[in-house]
This record gives sequence, C-alpha cells and structure tokens, in this order.
Amino acid sequence: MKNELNDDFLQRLRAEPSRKFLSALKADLDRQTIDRTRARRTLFRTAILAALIGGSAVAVAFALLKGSRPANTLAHVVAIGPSQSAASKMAAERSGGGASKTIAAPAQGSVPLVLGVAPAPDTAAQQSRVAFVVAGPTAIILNAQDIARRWMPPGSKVQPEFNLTSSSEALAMLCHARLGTADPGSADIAGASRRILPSELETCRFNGVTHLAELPSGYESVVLARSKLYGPPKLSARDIFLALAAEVPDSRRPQTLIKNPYRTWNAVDSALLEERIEILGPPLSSATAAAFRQTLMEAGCATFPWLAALKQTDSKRYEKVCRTLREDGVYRDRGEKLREHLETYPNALALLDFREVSAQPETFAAASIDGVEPNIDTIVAETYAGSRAMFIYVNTEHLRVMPAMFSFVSGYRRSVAESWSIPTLVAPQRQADAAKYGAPLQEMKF
Amino acid sequence: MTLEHAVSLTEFMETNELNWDALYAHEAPRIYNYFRFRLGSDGDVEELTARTFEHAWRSRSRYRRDLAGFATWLFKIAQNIGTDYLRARREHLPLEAAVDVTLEGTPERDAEQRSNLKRLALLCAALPERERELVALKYGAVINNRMIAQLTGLSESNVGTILHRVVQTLRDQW
Repeated sequence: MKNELNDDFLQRLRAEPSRKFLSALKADLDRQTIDRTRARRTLFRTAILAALIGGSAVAVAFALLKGSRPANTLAHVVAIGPSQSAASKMAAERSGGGASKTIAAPAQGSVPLVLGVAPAPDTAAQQSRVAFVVAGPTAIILNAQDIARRWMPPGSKVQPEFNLTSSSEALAMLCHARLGTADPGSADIAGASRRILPSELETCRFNGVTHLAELPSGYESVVLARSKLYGPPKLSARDIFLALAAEVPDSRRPQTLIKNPYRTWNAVDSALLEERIEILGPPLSSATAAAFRQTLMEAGCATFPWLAALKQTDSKRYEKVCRTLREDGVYRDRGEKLREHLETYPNALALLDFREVSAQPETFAAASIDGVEPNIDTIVAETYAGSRAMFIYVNTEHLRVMPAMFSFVSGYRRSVAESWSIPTLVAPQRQADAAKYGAPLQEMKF
Repeated sequence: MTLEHAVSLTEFMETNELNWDALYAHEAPRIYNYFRFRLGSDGDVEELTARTFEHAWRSRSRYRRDLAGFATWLFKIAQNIGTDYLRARREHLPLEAAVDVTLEGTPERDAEQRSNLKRLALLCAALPERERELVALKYGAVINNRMIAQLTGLSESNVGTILHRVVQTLRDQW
C-alpha cells in the first residue's frame, strides 16, 4: 500500500466536475455577459440622449439669444438621430452582426460566451461538426486516444475521431482539410514520424490550409535486448533485416528475393555466433512493432542499394519487402515470462520499447546497432537507427474555433512535456530538451 | 520554412482574441480539482469554482495579458477565494466536518476515490499551509512547476524539491 502513493496515484484522485454543474455555471456566466452588455448599452444610450437634449437646449438658448428661429435648429439637431442610427447599423452589418449581436444571438440553443472569435459563418460551420479528426501512425493515435480520455472536457459535443494511417497520408489529409466541410478525407490534426515536407506545405497552401503549428512529440524508439546476464549484443541493421524479414535478397542471385532461409545468426553474418535466431516481441499490430519495422528493419533493408531504390520507383513494393516480418516462428509473442525466458536462453532477444529497457537496467542489456548504443543522447541526436522523431501538426484555424480541440491539443502538449502519460514515446528526459517540448506553440509561416 | 511569433497555447488563444468558451472548458475542471485537493472533499467545491469564474468574468476587462497568462490570473483568483474560505471555515468547523463527499460515477470507484481523498486530506492537514497549496496545484490542478512557481513566489527548482519531499512524507505515512 505504501508504494502506491506516487504522482500517478495522486492524479487519479482527480474527478471530473458534473456536467450539470458545468452547464449551469456556464449558463450563469452567459447571463451575466448579456446583462452587462445590456446595462452598458443602456448607459450608452442614456448618455447619448442626455447629450442630445443638453445640446438642443444650448442650441435653443443660443438661438433665442441671437434672435433666430429655434425650430429649424431643433429640427436639424433631431434629424441627426436617424442618420447616426443608420451608420451604426451599417457598421454592425460590416462586422458581421456587431459585437452586441454576437453576444445576444443564441447558438444551438444557448448564448455563446465567445467574444470576438472567428467570423460568424466559420464558427457556425464548426459548431455543426461533431468531431475533429486526428490522423497518424500507431504511436500517435494510441497516445491521442489516451490523452482524449484524460483531457477532453466532460460532456463535450465535439469529440475526436481517430484515423490510423501513415504519416504521409495523415499529412495529406491535413492539407486537404477545409473549414466547415464534411470531407471524410480531411484531418484537423496529423501525426507524423517525420517533419512535414516543403512540397506538403505547398499542397496545404494551395488548398487554403495556411495556419499550421508543429508540435514536437518526442521520439519513438525501439531496442533489441537480451538478459543482462549475457551482456549487450552487437548487431547491425542489416543483420536484423536479414534475420527477421519475410523475404531477403538471394546471396547467389543478386536482385532476387527469396523466402528467408536464415535460422542462425552466423548464417546471417559469419562474425556472429552459431545461435538460433529467436526474437520475442509484442503483437505486430502494436506501436512498438510498427516502429521496429519502420526504423531498424528499413535501415537494414536500405543497406541493399537496389532495395533502397525501390522507395522512389515502387514504394508499395519497398514497404512490403522492407517492412514485412517473417511468420515462421522466429518472431513470436513475448509471453508473460519474458525475463525468465531471456535468462534461460542466451540467444533469445526481446523487441522492446526503449523506455521499458531503460527503466529496468538490471534486467535488460540493449543491443548496439552498427556500433551505436541506444541512449537518450543518441536518440535525440538521431544517430541511433531504432529511433525516429515524432511530430503532430495542428490546423490552428480550427483550433481557434473548436474548444474541444483546444483542450485536446493542450492536453497533448502537457502530456508530452511532462512525459507521464506517453506510453510509447521517449519524452524529454534531458533537461536541455525540456525547453523544446515546453516551448510555446509556434505557428508556421509558409 | 520560417517560424513566426512564438506564443504559448493559451497565449496563442489570447493573441488571437480570447475564446472564453475554450478557456472555460479547459480551466473549469482544473479549478474544480484544485479546490477538491485544497479542501480534501467535494463539499463546497462547486461553490468555490463558481465563485472563481464569476469573479473572473466580472473583472475580465481588468485582466492584463501583458502581466500574466490567463491561467495564472485565474488561479490567483482561485487561490484568494480558497484562502478566504479556509480562513472562515477554520473559525467554525473542524477539518473532519468538511470531509463529506458526494461524487458522480461508479459506486465502487467513487468509494475508493472518496476514501483515498479523505485519507490524503487528513495527512495533508498536518502539513504546512504552503505545502498543502503545492499539492493542490500540482496534483489537483495538474499545472507545471513553472506556473506553480509564478503563483507561489517560489523558484521552480524549489517547487520541485518541496513537492518531492512532500510526496515522500505522504508516502511514508500512507
């Protein structure tokens, strides 16, 4: 029981306020806003009326003293009233209804508290939407779902929709997004395992998506590790690809793929020991497995120039060859007794998230890849092949008019900065990097 | 690609005209939980939350974004309201009288949460006022050490050190 009390435990003592209370308080505040506006308007009208009457009296008195006809002057002064009113009306129309009209106009059965937000038609379009879309790769989506559960305001009508897709597709969805459209192919927030490309920004601009912010989201890092008893293995990305890909280049026939025949490490690389290849890992649908395929596997695949060239010429084939794991039992589910298994079998390696390994240095010894050990420095420097930087891109135009999206993004940033709720990403563990994640939101200009 | 004006998320909202709807949705649960942790119960929490927002609403024309972020300003109001309330309550009620909780949710989870919150409140009662405030800001409102430092006048590192020590103390007594 003693050990239970930690940061996470304390935060779990939080509770959401009841929807009834939040709605009632908001309605009260709305009412105050309207009352204040009415009171201010009444005061303003009274002052104008007093000024007119006072002015008229002075004018009449002045005319009487001068011996001119007061009626004409009075008529002239009174005639100013309607023309001022018309001018005010026109000004109100130019501003899309005017501030006072915006405050008083009911939206979806309630009076909006929003003062001077985006233009009314856009706001209305956003309010008609029931979701904002978050698209991206597995790690981003898993985190986003967790963050939405944790941070979205209770009772919010606007809920996030999650679309699991590749980084490129997510960014394409972001760039096609338009305010107020129900296009299913659009996203308000896109996650990516790379930075957005200049060409993608150009697409965004062409499609009218010109307000974006980039949020660094840590690093997704995976390692192969074995029991601490046997010390850290030394592997290359090429070894890993040849050991685990479903199809590998035939050593006797260049540029031909064959079903992976390798069963021992020394068959992959004669410098390695004659030990059975055995990798224990999470399900292939997991974020860790996806990251493994797209980092270490791809890095090894790219050491074959003709396979690397496929990325430009036949990207689908490239992905199939470089990212498909063999299914003949060499890679299998880690099971519940991973530690015991690794201690029993020196040849067995586990595919793990970096954070899991770094949290248990007494249990695991992480493999160096091409001479680079996985640690926070090599990950941040992007020299470790099993790691990739993650980003999310936010349509800030939508952020301004969707309170729920604002809450989500705010929660996301806090989670990344504080790192306590990110299950798969390496959050800033160095003091020097903290500023980068806690840094203010930046809007891109392009 | 060049990057333009750097502003925090809240500041971003503010510089692009205050969106009170969004700020309310974002800050209300935090203020609510700040008071829960400060009081150690749900009694009067809604009342104090409402009082904070009503005060903020009434005086929002006086809010100066060049002096403080919106959240900092709002929490300053909440702190003052909380202090006044606790001062008045101390004159009339023992702590135990306030530990009267009514929550929404599943009965089992709520019962456990109630029990834990009550227990935490009793342990916190033995802590100095400043440390109780830090616990409420950190774990109730879930705000970072930098902002806590702004609200309490402590340095950021001092906030971290005190909180670490407080959690250690609470854990020992739990």
